[in-house]
Amino acid sequence: MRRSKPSFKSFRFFPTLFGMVIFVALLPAPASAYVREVTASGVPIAWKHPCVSLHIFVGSAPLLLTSADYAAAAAQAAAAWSYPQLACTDIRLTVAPEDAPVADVGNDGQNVIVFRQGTWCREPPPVNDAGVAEPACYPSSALAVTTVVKNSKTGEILDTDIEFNAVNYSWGDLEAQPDLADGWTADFQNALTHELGHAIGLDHPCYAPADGQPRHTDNKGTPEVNCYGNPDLPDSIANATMYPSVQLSDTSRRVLSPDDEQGVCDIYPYGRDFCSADVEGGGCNVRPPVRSKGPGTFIALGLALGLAAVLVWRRSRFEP
Amino acid sequence: MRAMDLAELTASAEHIVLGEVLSSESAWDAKHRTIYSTVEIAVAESWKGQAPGSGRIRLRHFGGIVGDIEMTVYGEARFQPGERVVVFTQGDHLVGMGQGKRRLGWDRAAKCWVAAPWDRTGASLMGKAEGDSEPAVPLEMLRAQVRALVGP
Repeated sequence: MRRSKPSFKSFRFFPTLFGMVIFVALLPAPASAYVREVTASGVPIAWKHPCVSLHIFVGSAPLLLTSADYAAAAAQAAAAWSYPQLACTDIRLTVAPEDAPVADVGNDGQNVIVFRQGTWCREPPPVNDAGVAEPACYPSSALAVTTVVKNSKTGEILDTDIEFNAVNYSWGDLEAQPDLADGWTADFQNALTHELGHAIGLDHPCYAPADGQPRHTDNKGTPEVNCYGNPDLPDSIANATMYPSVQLSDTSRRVLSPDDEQGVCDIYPYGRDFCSADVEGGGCNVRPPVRSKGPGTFIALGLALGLAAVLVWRRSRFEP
Repeated sequence: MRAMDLAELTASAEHIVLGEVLSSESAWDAKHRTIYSTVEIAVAESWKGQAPGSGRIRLRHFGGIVGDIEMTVYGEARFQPGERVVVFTQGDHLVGMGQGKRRLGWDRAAKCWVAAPWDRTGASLMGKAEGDSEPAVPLEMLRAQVRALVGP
C-alpha cells in the first residue's frame, strides 16, 4: 500500500530553509571600500612580511600620561590592526617600549615612534653635500608626521617612522580624561591608530580635489569620492579610522571600521604568513599557519548540514 | 595637521607669491637617511614680502623619489613642473606643509583662473569640522582676500 504524500509535506519547509541559509551564507559580505597607498608609478605598497616591529621611545614622555601608559596605548593602537584582534589578517604590529627619550628617523630599517619636545624638527637634520647639518623643522600646525620609505618599483615598505609634535600640542587619553580636550590636546591612541594605517599601506578612503594628484580607485575599482564638502559622503567612509579629517578630541578612530578591517585583511590576508608571538622581542619568525575555525570552516559546515538535511528528507520521503 | 584658514596662512607667511613651477628635484641627504625635494618657482606676482631679485624662489620639502626608493612624508605638498601655484612660504618651506600651496587651474566655463583648495595630499586634518574646507575661489578673489589681509 502506498503512503500518501501529504504526510511529508511538512518536511519540505526544512530543506527550503536550509537551502536559504546556505544561499545567504554563500553570498558575498557587503563590500567595504578602502584605498591602498601606491607608489608614484601606481604600485600598491605593503610590507613583505607581516611581522612589523616598531619601537616607542618613552624615556622622557610628555607629562599627561606615564611612559607605561603611552606604551600601552601604542600597543593597543598596533593591536587594532593586528592578529589576533583581527582574525582575518596575518599582520602583527608590535610596539616595544624603549627607555631612551628620542630616536632618529629616516631610512635606517628602524621603525620608531617618538615625541619631539624640545624642538619640532626632524632628527637627525639633513646633511648637505658639504657635510653640514641643515636644521629642518616642521610647521607647528603639524601634529604628527609619518614617513614611509618604500621601493617605488615593487611597493615593498622598507621603513616607517612616526613623530609626534609635543612642542605645540599635548597628547593624552581623552577617553579616560575627556575634560582635557581643550583644543590643544589630542588623543594619542586615536591619532596613532590612524598613522599606523598609513604605516601598513593604507591611504585615506577619499580624495581631496585640490591636490593635483591622480585620483585613486578603491578596492572595488570605483574612483575615490570627494572627502570634503560632499553631502553624499557615505558614513562608512566618514567614520573610518583612515578618514583624513577629525576633531582633536576624537577617540572613535581607535576602533577600526569595517572598511579599515577589510583593507588590512585584504592586504595581509590570514594564511599568507604568520608571525610567532613566541619570538623574543616581537621578532619576525615566519611559519606556516595553523588555523582554527575561520569563515571557510563555517561555510563548509553549513553546506554539509544542508546536504545532510536534503538526504534525510529525500530518504524519509521515498522510503516506505 | 591642524587646519589653518586663509587669515592664519597669510599671517604666518613671510612671502606669498604666484608663480609657475620650473623644476622639482629629489635627492638623498649626505647621510642617505632622508630624501628631500627642491622646488624652483618662477615668480610672476609677489603678494607679501619683497619680491626676489632673481625672479625665482626655491622651496624644500621632505620626501621624493631617488632611484628605486621613494620616501613619502604625509602632509607634504608635491609639485610638478608646469604647475601654476600660489604659495605661502616661510624661509625655504611652505607654511603648514601642503596647506601653503594653492594650485591654479583654468576654468573654461568662467574663463578665469581658479585657485583650488589647499593641497591636502596625504594630510590628516584635525581640529576642524569634518567636511569643512577652504573652497576653490577665482584667482582674482584670492588675490583680493590676501591683499586685504596683508594690508597696505
